[in-house]
Amino acid sequence: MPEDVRGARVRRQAVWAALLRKEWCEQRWRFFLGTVVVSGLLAGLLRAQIVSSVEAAVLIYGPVGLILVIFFAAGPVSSERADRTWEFLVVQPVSRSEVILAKWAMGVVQLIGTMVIATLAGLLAMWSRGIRMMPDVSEFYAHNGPEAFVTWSTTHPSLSLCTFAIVGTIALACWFTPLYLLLARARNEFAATLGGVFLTIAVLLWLMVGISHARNTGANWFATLVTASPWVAMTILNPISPFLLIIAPNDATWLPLVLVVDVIVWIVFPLWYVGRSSSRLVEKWVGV
Amino acid sequence: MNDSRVAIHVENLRKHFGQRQVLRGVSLDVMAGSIFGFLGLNGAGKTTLIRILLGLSRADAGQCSVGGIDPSVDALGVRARIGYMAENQTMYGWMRVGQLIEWVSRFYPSWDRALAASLRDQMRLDADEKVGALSKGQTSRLALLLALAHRPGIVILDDPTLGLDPIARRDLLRDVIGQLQDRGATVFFSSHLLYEIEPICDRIAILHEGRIIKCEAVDELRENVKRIVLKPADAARAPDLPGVLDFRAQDGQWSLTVEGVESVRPALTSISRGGLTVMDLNLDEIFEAYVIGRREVPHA
Repeated sequence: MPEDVRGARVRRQAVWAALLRKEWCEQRWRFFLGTVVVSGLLAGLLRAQIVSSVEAAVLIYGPVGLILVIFFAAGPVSSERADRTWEFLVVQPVSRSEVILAKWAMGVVQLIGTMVIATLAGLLAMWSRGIRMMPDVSEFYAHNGPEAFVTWSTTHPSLSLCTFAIVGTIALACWFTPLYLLLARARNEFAATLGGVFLTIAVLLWLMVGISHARNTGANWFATLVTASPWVAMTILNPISPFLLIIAPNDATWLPLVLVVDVIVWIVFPLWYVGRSSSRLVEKWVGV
Repeated sequence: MNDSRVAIHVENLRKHFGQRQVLRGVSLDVMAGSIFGFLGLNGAGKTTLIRILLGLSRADAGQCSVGGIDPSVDALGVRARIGYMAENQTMYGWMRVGQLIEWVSRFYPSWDRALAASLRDQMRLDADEKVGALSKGQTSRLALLLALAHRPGIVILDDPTLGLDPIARRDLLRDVIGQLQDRGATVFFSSHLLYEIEPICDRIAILHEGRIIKCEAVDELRENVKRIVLKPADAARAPDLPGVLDFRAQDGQWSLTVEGVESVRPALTSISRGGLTVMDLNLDEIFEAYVIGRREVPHA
């Protein structure tokens, strides 16, 4: 019996390795292209100082990041459908959930990889201009708390870039999951990209309504959530709220909490759900 | 159902897509070790049934089992134990032949490397060639290799020769027959061309508009269905007989394709001037009579 279990585990690992390797071979051009463009853009903006470094970070981890998410999410399933290799893939002894999960995992890894490399390129560009300071973060955070920390960090360019990078990457990865799962139904890449653009715009509009509501009522997001305003509940649980929190520093107190909640709701839970061997909902949604 | 001699069991399977009833209660049994021909025009529901057998799609009603496993319960178990080859299979064009074989092998616990290598030699496939650069014939041979190299007990071929030119079709069929003959595997061979599977099948089922309209041993079918040509005494009155699949009148002569010759012989003899001519039919003509002739059968 233990032999059997071990054998089955080894086989499962081989299947996963095969799925991931294929994904990497098929999708790596997206990673290389995305990395070159985003890194070049961020490094260029920071080196040339056409805009301030905070503005550059907002641009890269905001709109450019969202385009990158659409770029990574639209391709993996729809391109296989358009090429009709999807049918070859799903007749293998592997479940559609596993296929979807492998593609999702590769997308997240590529997204995070691109953002890490872009941030390093940005830091290099800053250092090339002589910006070298890296203040004592932990001491300030311990004495002044998270809200003051966010404001304070913006006065230190390299530190603020790193903060933006961490929060922005988590936010984009959170948005990647629902977008990817929704686009897994698209029949071709053009339709998927179009769908991704529309969905992203819709979520951003939704967020703006939520934020302005929270601003007008003057309440902090978490308090408003507790007092059960449905708009704001949606806002705090939306996949890109960490990013929006950081550009609305008034509410940064709840940043760590929101980050954790978002990661659980938008990454851990879908991962667990889709990964179950018999997620009928996913099979039904993705179809054949 | 638990009979181990039954490799594929299908019972009253139904499936609809929107308003369209694709399968309207299909039942059939495929005996272990036999070669079963599954015939139907394009769009008859062949692929839908196969998708259900592979656990890719769920039936609305009815049951099925493949090698004793219910595909709606353990689809992966079914897929690991059968060999499947689709119509017009498209594989990863960017992979090389050897790479693709290696990649697919990861999914099957029972993959036989030596067999895969010898099949590759026999099928004259170059391991270093890009899959995308293969001809259609080579692509189907590669798909056949992938379907057989894990030594499956049951092989499902879904119209494997669709879209091949006559030479490639003949080559592929020769490979299919050569590889399967002495392996003792059960073969479920779906096709829209009867002459293609006639020489190799033990039994055939004809699927038409979502129903099995005939399921019989090939010899019995050939024995049972004949064409009768006669000169009628009264040409104005078309015969109203059971078992007539196809009826054509030309130049004062009637040509009928009938099922169960002996049962209609007395009635036909009585209305003919001069005797009956009974002709053998090949399976294509029989298939045509069942599927196409059906629409033209004179109604009482």
